[in-house]
Amino acid sequence: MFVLRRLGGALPTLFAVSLLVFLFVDLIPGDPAQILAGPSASNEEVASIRKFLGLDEPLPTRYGHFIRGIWDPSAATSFRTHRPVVVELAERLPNTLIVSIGGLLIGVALGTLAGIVSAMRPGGLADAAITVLTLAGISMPIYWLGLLCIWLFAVNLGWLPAAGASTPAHFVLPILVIATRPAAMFSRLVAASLTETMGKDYLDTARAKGLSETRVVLAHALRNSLVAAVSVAGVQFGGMLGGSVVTETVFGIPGVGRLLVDAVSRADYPIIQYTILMFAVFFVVINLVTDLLTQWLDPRTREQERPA
Amino acid sequence: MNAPFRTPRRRSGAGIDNLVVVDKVCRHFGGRKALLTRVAAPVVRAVDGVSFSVRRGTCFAIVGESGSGKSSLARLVVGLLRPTAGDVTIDGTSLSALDPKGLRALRRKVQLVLQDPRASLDPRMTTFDTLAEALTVHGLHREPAARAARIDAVIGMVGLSAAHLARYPHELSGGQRQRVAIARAIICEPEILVLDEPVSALDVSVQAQIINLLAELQARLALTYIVITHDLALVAHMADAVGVMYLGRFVEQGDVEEVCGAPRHPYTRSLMAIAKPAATTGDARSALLEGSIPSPLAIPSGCSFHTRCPLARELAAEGLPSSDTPDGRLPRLCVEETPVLHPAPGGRSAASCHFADQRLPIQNS
Amino acid sequence: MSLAQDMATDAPPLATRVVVAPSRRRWTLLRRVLAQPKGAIGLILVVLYLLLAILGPMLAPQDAFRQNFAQTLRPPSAAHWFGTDQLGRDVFSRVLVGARATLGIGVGGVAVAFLIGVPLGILAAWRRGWVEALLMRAIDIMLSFPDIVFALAVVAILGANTQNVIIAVGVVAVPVFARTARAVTLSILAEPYIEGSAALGASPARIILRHVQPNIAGTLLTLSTLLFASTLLSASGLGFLGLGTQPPYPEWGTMLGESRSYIRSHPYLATFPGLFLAGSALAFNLLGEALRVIYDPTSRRTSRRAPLFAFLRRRSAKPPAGPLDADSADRNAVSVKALRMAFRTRDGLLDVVRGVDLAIRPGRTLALVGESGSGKSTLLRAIGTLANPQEVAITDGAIGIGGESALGLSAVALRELRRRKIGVVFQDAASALNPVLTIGAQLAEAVRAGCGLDDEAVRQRCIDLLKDVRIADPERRLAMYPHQFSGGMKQRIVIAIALAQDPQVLLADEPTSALDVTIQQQILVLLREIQETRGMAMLLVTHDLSLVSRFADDVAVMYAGRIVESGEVATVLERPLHPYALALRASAPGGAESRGQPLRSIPGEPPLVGEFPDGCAFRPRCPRNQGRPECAECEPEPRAIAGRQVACLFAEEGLS
Repeated sequence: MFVLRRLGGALPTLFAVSLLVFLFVDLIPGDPAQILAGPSASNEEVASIRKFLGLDEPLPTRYGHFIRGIWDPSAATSFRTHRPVVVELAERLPNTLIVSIGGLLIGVALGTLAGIVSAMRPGGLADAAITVLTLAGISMPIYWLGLLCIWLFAVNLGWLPAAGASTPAHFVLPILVIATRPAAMFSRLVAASLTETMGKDYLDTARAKGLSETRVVLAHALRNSLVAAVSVAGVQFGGMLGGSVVTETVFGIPGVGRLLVDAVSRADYPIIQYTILMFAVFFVVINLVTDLLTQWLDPRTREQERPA
Repeated sequence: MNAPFRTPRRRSGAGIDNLVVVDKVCRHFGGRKALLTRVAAPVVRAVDGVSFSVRRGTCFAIVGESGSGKSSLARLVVGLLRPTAGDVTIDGTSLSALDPKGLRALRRKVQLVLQDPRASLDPRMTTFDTLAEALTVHGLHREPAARAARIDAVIGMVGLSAAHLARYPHELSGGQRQRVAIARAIICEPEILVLDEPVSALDVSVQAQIINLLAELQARLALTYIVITHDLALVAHMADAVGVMYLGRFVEQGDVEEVCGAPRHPYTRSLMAIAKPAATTGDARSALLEGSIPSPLAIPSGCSFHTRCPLARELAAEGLPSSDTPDGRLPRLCVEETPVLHPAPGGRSAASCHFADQRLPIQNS
Repeated sequence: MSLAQDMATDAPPLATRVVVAPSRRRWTLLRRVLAQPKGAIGLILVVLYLLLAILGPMLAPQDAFRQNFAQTLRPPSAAHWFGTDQLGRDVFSRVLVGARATLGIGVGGVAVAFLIGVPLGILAAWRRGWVEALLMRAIDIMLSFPDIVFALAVVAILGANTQNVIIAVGVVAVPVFARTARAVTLSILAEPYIEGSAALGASPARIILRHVQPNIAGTLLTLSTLLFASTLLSASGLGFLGLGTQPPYPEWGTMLGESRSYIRSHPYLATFPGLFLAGSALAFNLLGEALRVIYDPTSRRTSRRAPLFAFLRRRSAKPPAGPLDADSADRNAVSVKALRMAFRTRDGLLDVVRGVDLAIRPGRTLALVGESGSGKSTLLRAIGTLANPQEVAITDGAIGIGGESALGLSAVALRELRRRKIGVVFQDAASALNPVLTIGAQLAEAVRAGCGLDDEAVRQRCIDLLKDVRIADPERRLAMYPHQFSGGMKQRIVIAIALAQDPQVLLADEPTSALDVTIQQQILVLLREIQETRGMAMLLVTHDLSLVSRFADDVAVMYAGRIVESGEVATVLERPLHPYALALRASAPGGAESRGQPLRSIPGEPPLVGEFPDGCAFRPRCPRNQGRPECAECEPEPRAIAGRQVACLFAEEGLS
């Protein structure tokens, strides 16, 4: 029931997003057909390109056409390769998902662990080390970190391949690099919310029951602090998808992010539009999943109305 | 220092000098459809048809538990909330006739003192700034010298010294903060102070100081007080008239001697039994109310107190026409019919209970 | 930006209560930043970077644009400190010159986001209604795009150059500022002092400018600093992708992008711009963290953190497990002997409980009465073995529960003691129950702890417990969560948990002060009945003397960490002999009898912990003192007078 309601709530957002992405071409100063045809093209050439692109049709028709392109391969093709956009995206999506999801999972796992260690032994050596690493993690430009990793592990040590996506080994460095950000964020987040939770009265209630400290932390404190952490994890994954743009460029992985960057520099508008749309849809879906997860963790969010 | 609360001087021609008149005022929250949501929010009847008037120079107390709507009522009187229905008249001026600017100007006459002085003072303002702001807002004492003189005078009036003027709230103690809050309220020479739980956040040994200060100020400045509280002992000590609030309505109101001395509504009776020192009550358990105050989202039908009323249960057990409800067997009248205010013999108080005049079982037992 | 989003999600707690000592605020702020190591390092680095951005082009030893094909891709040398690039340009000069563009984009982006986002956020919080709904929708939509993707889209529309990158990263950060500004403004607007100001007659503009703006400034400053770091990284990311500042103009991200092709052969090309970039992000993150510690009360963890290796000290500070007096311990359910406790603060130990003797016999209720700072709750926690050793030290004395010492126990023995002998009822039932677990789970945990009951027996015991605290329909309630109960019901559940293992001692810390008067009575009557039927000893901590006569057998009045008068309720309340106890009783409004009379108040206020006067702590407020030198000389010890213990040198004066 809630899922349906939440989906219903996401629909207007999705509609607005698709509209925004669609209007994107119209927002470009100047005439896309002119840009595509190049400065030396004649008026007739520009007009024929315009007709080919369907730019002379009224907006609603074009929007309908745009939406159809989501499932109909013939409805939208790349300006440059003239292949269906859907095909271009589908070919590259697996690479992007492997890197993003892999990075997120590893990052979240490491971050949560570090956060717990840091909150349990505040002021200890481990806490100090984690604090320093965390700060470094959020300050490090991942494209630079990527370059350093290539230089160290691929060029100098020769342990791993530097670029490409042909073998599983190719994904190790990108996943590790992309995991730094969520790891750093999560360790801070878990540490902060766990420390806050540790001061709560209900932990004293649990202690007064005669429970061991381990059980107090694991059964009572951690679950409460994860509530806050999970909602940020969703936002993080969006960041990861964005981070894939840079990471794929660094490691030369043929993924969706790389496709988008190339499309931007080559003014391949259909590719740009559908890629952005795809990212946005992912993002909305992830927010949905996050909400469901939060609900599962925190019963207070399950009902909209509370008894007074 | 030792000026007592004045005992009210009763005049025969009632309503001659009513400084505050609250007429069937209602305040409902919610109910409107919010943007982009399908369901209308349920209506909360925070205040539902309350009428009372306060004579100049007297103290009116509003008593109730949390969720009774007493704080909303206070804000309606000050004009911080607009009534959904009904009207509030202050010194002959109807609040509903005023625009926001006029309302702000009127605030010079009606000032609010809040419960927790720690939170009601801006942490980034010194005592002097806090007091000066009040003068600035109403354009009083624009001359720096006159302003300083006025601030000095008022700070002395509340029992603080010039040394406190440079301090920030966190550098003051709880009692001192409440004194500053009171100083801010009286600096513009208002006629009415609305006091929202003025001492309940303070330490017990400090409460008496503040209550005495309020009494002294009332006598000295001829102030009219409206006190919101849950403490009936405080009401009996300082108020002239009282309204007992339950779920947005007055269940009993009138002169304080009548209401506190001979309560007629079962709810007031229970509250009084709790407030009285043990020696006079005997067994506290007889006055114990069951359950808790229902949600203002779902106010019970008929008499809203019927879900907890000990009298109703007793009457039903004695064979009055009754029906079974989730809360037990109760007289049909209580469940189905909304009671009106029954004036007491003598007319100095009124209670909205179907059986207010019939019997007082708790006192008999 | 993900970091900034984290900030935005954090915003409500972040904005709760920010009290920076406002006197000479600017300098205070600077001092507080410099007082933290990361603040000091961060601030110095930030200043250096800003100087670099301003002076960089002037400091550059060589022309950053001059190409020299004779000297391409040279490693670092005396002539070219950072080497030369593929076009033979001096990398050191390019890094210096590039500082302005790199940091400028960050400053510009944050400025754009701040100037658009903050007013929008404040407007939404102030106007509520459709303005807010619309804005929040728009923010939702904008946040549906991953940040760098959104920035890429903006660049794709506007074209790739420095100015458009500023717009792109600025627009991306707008929702973050708007959301945070709205959240903090809302929380400030909910503060009573805003209502106080409105009630004073202040206009909306005045409220925003005088009250809201100064109070949200700190949070927004923190956010700006942290966002600066992430904006810098996003903007340089665009440069790295070749979509930012266009060649030949130097910008660190662009330089990194250009160096990518040479990473195998000439790694130093990537080293220096990357180092400067990471350093600048680190600088702003450090400064932002320091600001966050100052402005965000929820991140106090660093300031409250014990110094390194504190746990070693904690061990050694453990009090001697004082041997209990055998015969008195047998008779008393609780016996406290000469107990002294102190708060651990940065300035050392602050005495809070100063030599307390106390005993509760089985089947009796002792009411411990006191005001704020009297140490009554600290004492209760110590008796309940729940005093947090990181915050409070037990410096001397002994505590016995049912004849067993409660100090210096091993973890296992401590758990056993808590299980079998002690039940605790807290002041705020809402926070004493875990919000994410069902009532049944929390009860079952208490029932099961340390005994081998099977599931059905546990369930039956839980149901019985709920019945004991008069909760109707207990079977159904077990599956419910705490938020589904009213305040009074929650307190009943807390009591049920406390009773789970039939404790000998029930400790109740102001169990009703958060409840309405009618509910208060119900709970106190329930506690009293349970205590009587089970023959437990109960310690009832309260500030309300009027409850004592009805719900306790014995009373102990506490002031400034000491018990000033104790004895049977009837004896003590009939005629208190200590002036403080007398004042407490006399100053309560007595209802109609006292009408028209001023209350008999005592001057002054209870002293704060750490500011107790020497000699008799009550001396400054005492009507009996009147400059008597004896009162100032030493702290009076409790003496037996007229059937009770009184700690006053002149207690006899109360008898006449």
